[in-house]
Amino acid sequence: MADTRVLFLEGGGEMGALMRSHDWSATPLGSPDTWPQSLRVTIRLMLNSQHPMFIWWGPELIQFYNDAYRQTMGPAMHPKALGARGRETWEDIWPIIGPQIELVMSGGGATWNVEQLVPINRDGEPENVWWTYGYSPIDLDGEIGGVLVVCNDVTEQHQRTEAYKNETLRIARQFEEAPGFIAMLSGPDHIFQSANAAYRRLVGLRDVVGKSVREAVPEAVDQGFVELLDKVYTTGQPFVGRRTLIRLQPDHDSPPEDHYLDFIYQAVHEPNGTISGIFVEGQDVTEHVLAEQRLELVNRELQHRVKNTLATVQAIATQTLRSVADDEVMKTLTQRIVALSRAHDALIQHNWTSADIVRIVESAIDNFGMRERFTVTGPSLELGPNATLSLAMILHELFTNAIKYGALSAETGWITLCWEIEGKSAGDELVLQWLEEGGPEVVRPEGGGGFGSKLVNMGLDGTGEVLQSYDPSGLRVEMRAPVAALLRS
Amino acid sequence: MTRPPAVVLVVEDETLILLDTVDCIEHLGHVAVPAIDARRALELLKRRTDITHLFTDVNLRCDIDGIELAAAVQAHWPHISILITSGHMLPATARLASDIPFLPKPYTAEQIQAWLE
Repeated sequence: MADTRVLFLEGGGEMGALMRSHDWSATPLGSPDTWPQSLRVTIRLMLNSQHPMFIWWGPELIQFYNDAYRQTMGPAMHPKALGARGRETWEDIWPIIGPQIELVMSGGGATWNVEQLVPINRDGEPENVWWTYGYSPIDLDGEIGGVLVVCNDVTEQHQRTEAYKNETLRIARQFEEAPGFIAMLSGPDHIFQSANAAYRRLVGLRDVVGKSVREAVPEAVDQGFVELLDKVYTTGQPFVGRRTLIRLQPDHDSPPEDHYLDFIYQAVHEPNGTISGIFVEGQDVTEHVLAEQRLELVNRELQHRVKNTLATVQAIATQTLRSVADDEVMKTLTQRIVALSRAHDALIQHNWTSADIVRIVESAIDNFGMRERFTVTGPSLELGPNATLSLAMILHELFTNAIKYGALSAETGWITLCWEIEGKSAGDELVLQWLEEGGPEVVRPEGGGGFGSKLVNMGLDGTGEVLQSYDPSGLRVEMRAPVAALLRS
Repeated sequence: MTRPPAVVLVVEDETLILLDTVDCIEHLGHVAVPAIDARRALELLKRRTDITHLFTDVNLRCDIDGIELAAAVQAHWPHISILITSGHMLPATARLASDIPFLPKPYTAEQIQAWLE
């Protein structure tokens, strides 16, 4: 193109070519070489910009646009819109844009729209696009010759902002609906920044946000909670409360409520390391604690019932046998019932589920009161209820026998009671030994033995893993049982 | 037995245990005075001056329990020796004055004998 008067149409890609080949003489504008300078400047700027741009020119609002803008138009508009009259192209939305164009054309200034959703068909596919755009006046000899539209596709920015807003809302909702209570306190006076629904329920639906803890929950002061907060705020050390009792009184008319709380006060640090507030988070475990207390009560009552029942059984037995049995038989019977009862004492410590072997042995020795005659060694090991009762009764029989005939019947005799856990391929095994020494010479009892020796021969888990040797220097008993079986039984 | 027999006030709300404990004390050669609750026990204490020992359960199905009865006996009849029994273990009976011996249920004749002698 040699004509320097239309150099302003150089470049501009597809739209530049269309502009150059367009028959402008058929429009009210006439040939491009006659166009006013301000229009040429604006068109050159438009064709060479990657921003979507659009021009309405003259009273007929003749249209120009660049490649970037062309991307926003469907086949129904492009290329028909080039050189056409604005009102014809935009008939559908003329009620919206007409007044804006009119405003700019009449010297009313520029318009500015931020992040407006204007759906477009970019590649034949409908697409939601957010635009920030403005209509600005183009000068023509001191008057207004046309309108320049500069658009900016801000969809990405819009979506980022939306995602951030949604994420913030989601976090806020999680915070609000969290099952545990959560509050944020700020500053040395512990001002509530926020408190979720669970927190507000805990304090009796009081309005706390914006108030200090001292002001919003005054009853917490005397119970030492503000002092704890002060400490966390000054030291930065978190405070963890477990089953902590707090008495809350939402207002003067309602009765105070006791709550047990598991909670944490965690200092909130700023990037520069200073403490700006305290994060409060926790659970109301009142129901839990009350259930435990009820269980404890039931347990105590059960223990009482068991022991009273054993005492009653004992009373019935002695009353039944008194006329036919001698004192020695009565004594053996009552002692056995007492031994059974003591085994239950060891069990109740663990809600009837298990007892420590150490405790069972100590209890048996205490019952007979000859501690100085014993050497006891062995590790702690939990036994199930049946194994607990078996061991307690076996020890009772061994004791009774030792007092009557064995090491404890002589002034100088002593007993070694030791146990250990042996690792076996089939699992750990408990090996318990009862060794008597220093008593009178041992004689194997006649016959199959009484209840006591039968009981001992049953062993710890009823399987009879028992070795009794009537060594002349003293009775030796060794019992074995798998640890797993002892805990289960 | 060289010493004169003890006169033991036995307070126990379970009839069978009361019967057996009385029997056991008499079998040991002492005198047993049964009472089914603390009110009756207090009446007996006011009427009889020969009681030397109190053997009482804690739970007595009555507005006065064994621990309160023991406190009353310590206050008004300080010469009477007291033994408290219960199916409860310590510390359920922690209210017990520290100088009063405690015997867990069930108990044997030997344990009662040891206390009386």
